[in-house]
Amino acid sequence: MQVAAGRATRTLGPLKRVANYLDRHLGIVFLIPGMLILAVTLTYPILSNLWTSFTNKHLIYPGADWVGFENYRVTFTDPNFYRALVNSGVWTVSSIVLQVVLGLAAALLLNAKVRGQAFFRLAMIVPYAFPTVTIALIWRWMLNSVYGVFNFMLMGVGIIDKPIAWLSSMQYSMAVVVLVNVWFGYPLFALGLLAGLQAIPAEHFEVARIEGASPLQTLRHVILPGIKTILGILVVLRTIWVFNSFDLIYLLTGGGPRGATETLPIYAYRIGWDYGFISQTTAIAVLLFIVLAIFAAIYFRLSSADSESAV
Amino acid sequence: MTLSRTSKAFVYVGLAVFALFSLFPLYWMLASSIRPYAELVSTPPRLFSTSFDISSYVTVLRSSPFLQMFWNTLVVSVITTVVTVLFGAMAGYSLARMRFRGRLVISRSVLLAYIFPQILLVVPLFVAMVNLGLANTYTGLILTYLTFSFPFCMWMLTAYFQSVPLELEQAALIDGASNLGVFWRIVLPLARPGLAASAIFTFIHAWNEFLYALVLLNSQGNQTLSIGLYRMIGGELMRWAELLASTSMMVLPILVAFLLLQRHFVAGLTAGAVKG
Repeated sequence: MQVAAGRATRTLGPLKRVANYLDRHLGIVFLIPGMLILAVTLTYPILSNLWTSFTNKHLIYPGADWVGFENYRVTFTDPNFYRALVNSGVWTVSSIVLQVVLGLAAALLLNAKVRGQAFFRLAMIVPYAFPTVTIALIWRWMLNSVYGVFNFMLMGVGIIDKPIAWLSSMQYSMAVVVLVNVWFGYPLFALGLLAGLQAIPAEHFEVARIEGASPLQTLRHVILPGIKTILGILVVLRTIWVFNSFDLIYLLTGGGPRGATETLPIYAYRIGWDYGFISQTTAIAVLLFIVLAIFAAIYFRLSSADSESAV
Repeated sequence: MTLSRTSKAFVYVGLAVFALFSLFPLYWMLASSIRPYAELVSTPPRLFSTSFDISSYVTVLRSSPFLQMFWNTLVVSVITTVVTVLFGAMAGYSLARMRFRGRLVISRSVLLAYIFPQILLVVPLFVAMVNLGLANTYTGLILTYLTFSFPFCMWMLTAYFQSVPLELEQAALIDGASNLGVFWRIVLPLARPGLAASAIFTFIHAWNEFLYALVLLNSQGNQTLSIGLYRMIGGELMRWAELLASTSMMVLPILVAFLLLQRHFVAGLTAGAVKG
């Protein structure tokens, strides 16, 4: 090896030597483009966002002056901010709880050994391929107050007796946007939890069966402990995602009617792009990030408890 | 574990309910899009119909910029996917194999990047693209798409490369292959499922993306489908026939691709994303 390598180097031209040098340091060379991308698309914007949040930059008027904590003060004294905060809480918690319940039920059904599982698994993840704008349009069509099939189905089974304008109703709009989000998101829980279920050793189920455990006891003592970690990780990741999500609600209701579905990201967007106060948008974004950092810390805790090799 | 007849029936009913819930909107979109207009707006709607009418598709293809927008979206999504997977694989391999200080810091901050709210980045990215003269261009849009696709794919691929056994690589190195040769000829082929998963992930996200395109693209000719369809919602009177035809044509290609490749996607999702 040593000899061969030495002879090879002597007969090589300068170009080849550079190539060899790069190859020996491939680990760093490979990282450079990625780190550049991250620097340009993430590090710079985040720092710039933080800076902007202390200025009075406007969408249209040029220039910006330092205003200290003014944007934060304005945000904390805006009643709409608190309404959006509450809406975000309702939207996130109810979406996640329902997605976990449906996802777990679906995962348990998919884990039962019956024929045709592959088809059902495929059927369930179909919503994932839908672009958000099409999800919004299809559901707006189904929830339409005049032609919508949703109303006629509910009237058919006697749940309601006259059509409801779901998306423009103060009372129901939040419930239906959550419904749409659950439709979209439960399959990801189902697949993740299915992977967790399949990792539980068959003997554990066998023991539970021999000891005559009821299905509920099996759920509590075999299934839940077996999927605890993966469930925790999924919940944290999805919570972050749902909390951040902008386009589904924006495309379904635009945050309306009268702010009934306006969550924090939509509130932040409207302040910046409808009213032009983009410095205030950046301040709200910083506040959002602080909340999310807490979730991220929980996630890192959970995932490093799961395995040593976790990155 | 064998199941009794009754519990089998119970499982099937349960699975059927879930499948129906997931698939009905797809069915309803396609069924509505090929109905004659009179039937589309008749109430109560009929669940099944035997009359077909594809005139709304013809209208959309003939007299709306749908094809142009379709092409725009395709170009943006393909370039984003190629750039992401190429650089993501390089960086992911580096993080998975090379030992150097700060490796954990890098991989963690990459994951942190994944949780940044889009809304946190939208103002600075918008301002930066305006300053760079890239507002209203695909280059600008693709750069912003890398903010969500690159960190996630790099993270997913790092996990994937870690699961590829080292022995093959070591054997090739002993045989005198260069590091680059090992990566190109041994590691990448082995990691094909992971690459496929991150490619699908990136492509779907780029194809679907809405907020950045809404903020960055504002001339008529360069709109992506997400924005184009959103602007079609605009008017006082929703033109449902055309909207549903456009929606179907936006969904179908991505749905077909997804179903063909979903095995990789699910594997990648469980290997990379879920295991962390």
